[in-house]
Amino acid sequence: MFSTYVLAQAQTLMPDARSAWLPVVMLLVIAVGFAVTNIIASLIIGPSRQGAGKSETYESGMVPFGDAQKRFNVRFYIVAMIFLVIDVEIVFFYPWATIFGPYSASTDPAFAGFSTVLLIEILIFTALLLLAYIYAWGKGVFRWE
Amino acid sequence: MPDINPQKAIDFLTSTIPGWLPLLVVIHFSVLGMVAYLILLERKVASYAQDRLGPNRVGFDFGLPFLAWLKGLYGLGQPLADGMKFLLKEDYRAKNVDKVLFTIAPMIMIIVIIISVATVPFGGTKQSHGTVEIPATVNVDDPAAVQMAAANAIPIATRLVLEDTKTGEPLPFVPRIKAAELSASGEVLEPAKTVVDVTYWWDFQPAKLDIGVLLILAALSLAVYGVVVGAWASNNKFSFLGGLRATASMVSYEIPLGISILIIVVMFGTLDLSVIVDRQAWMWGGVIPAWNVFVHPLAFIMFLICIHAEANRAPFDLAECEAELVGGYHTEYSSMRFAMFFLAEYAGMVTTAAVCAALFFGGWHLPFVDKIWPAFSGGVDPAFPSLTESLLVCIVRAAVVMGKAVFVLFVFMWVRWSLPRFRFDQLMNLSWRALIPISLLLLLATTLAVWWWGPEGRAHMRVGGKMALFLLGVNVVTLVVIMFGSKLIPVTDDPNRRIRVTSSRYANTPLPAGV
Repeated sequence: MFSTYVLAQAQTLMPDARSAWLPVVMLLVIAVGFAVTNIIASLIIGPSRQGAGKSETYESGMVPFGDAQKRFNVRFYIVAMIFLVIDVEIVFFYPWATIFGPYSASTDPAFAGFSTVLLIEILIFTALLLLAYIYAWGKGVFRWE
Repeated sequence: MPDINPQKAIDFLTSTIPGWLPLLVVIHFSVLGMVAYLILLERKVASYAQDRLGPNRVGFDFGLPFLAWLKGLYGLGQPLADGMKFLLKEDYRAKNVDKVLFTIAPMIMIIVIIISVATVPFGGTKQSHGTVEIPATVNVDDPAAVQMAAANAIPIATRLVLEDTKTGEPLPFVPRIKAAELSASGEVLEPAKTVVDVTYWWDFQPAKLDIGVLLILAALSLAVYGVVVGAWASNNKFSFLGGLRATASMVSYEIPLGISILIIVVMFGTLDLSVIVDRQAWMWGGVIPAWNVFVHPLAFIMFLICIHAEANRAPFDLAECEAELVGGYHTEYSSMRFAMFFLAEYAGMVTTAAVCAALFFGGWHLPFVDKIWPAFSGGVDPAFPSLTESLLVCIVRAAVVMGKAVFVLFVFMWVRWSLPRFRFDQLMNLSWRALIPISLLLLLATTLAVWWWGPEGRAHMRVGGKMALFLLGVNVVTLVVIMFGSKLIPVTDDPNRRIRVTSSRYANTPLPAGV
């Protein structure tokens, strides 16, 4: 049976009242509370002394010139773009990976040959990914000096 | 379309939150406590690596004479003292910073890292049997209604079992009347009620999610925002450069990290970390534990490299290399806001180490323990060894998982004091030109193996001996080809060439106006 391979465990019931995501949301609330409390506590408890040189930006004792928030090297943009291209495609692999294993291990005749279809599909997808990757390599995106 | 009833939602929150809250607060503070002692461990490892003693003065005596016997204690009081000092220091903000983002950045870091702990599996699943009461309003002739009522009545953080674990048959939910309890004088102590026998499972995992791995990956990716926002808001050139480097290295290593996790996901066909652990909890031929580190040693090494880079640790700590960038993206931070960056870095290490233990070291599984103590490997359902009826087993398993995680954490520290820092171009090359193609190759080999072996030798979706041998062979051959084959590639770059430094006193580019 297909379902036995997918689950490999008995069916269980979590009523909507105990949705599996509740602990994550509550952990989020606890973490936000922890962060806010700590910042407020250190603002209240800690000392606060102002001084002439103290409010300057710290740049190893040099007098800071100009603003730090300005243009930076374009290579960082390119890395970010290539990251987006490849990482989004990696994310598309995940849903495929969760069904490929169970379908290939299934003995149900209704799904015979289906894993081969899945395999060919993912090979085409990977080939497209590799095309972008090789193009970027050839264009020298990964050349840092 | 589910019916949304506000009263129902309020009832649900008031009935579930009191049960969950203590559990999650304990998890939150045990992670932070572990992080505090991890920092002490790091300092101890550093000191022994450098042949000195490290922190050994701060105990728990607090200067009080009657607690003098708690003095010293190998510096175990150090984390407490560090925490107090962080809280008592001035939380300073320079005049040029972006005030809102400057505060939000460390909060983003700590929040996303705490969330990522939510799906780490610790000790398998505990099975319990019990009898729960069905409210009088439920129609006892409707099995679905009885099931739902039973699911609402079982303890918090558990799930109701609907099928027999051995046969797969649906369990009968037959309600019965429990007679009223009477005292000797005929008074009614407890009125008669409808009850049903249930079996329920308690997962030793903060949140049992079927997309656990994706949640961890997503949370760890969000940590990049903390770095970028903090660096940008500081308005400091050192912070800014550190933030750029940290971002570039974190996003670059996220791809091989994702692929090396994907290799495991393809083999087991699930994103649930506890199921991945469960499918490793057996032995090939009764001798070798079926852990993924023996199937995919190269993928494990890549995973280890990537979690070092994700945590911005040595040898990839380009973001905060002291000699060039002062403190990197947290140069301008002080007091608790700095502490949050620090805590988040170590808490991220704890999460990734625990995930590493689950993905590659079989989670709670230890070889040969079940020879002495049969209950350790379940004993309820042979296809589902995580399932156990003993609470002690779950606690021991959680200790085993933490032990494996601490070993990985020790490797983090060991590497930090053994390897020199990479140069930035080496860092980017390692990820984009080495790790990504190798991990894609391994992914392809794994996919083909999963397809080729099909149903045979993959009982319960485990990795059979032949498939494991094939994948191990692919890993070893790839490793050998990399180690010896890379020597054959002609080196086009001169590693000691001079790199032009813009705006330095050796370069001809003019200085910015006004200087």
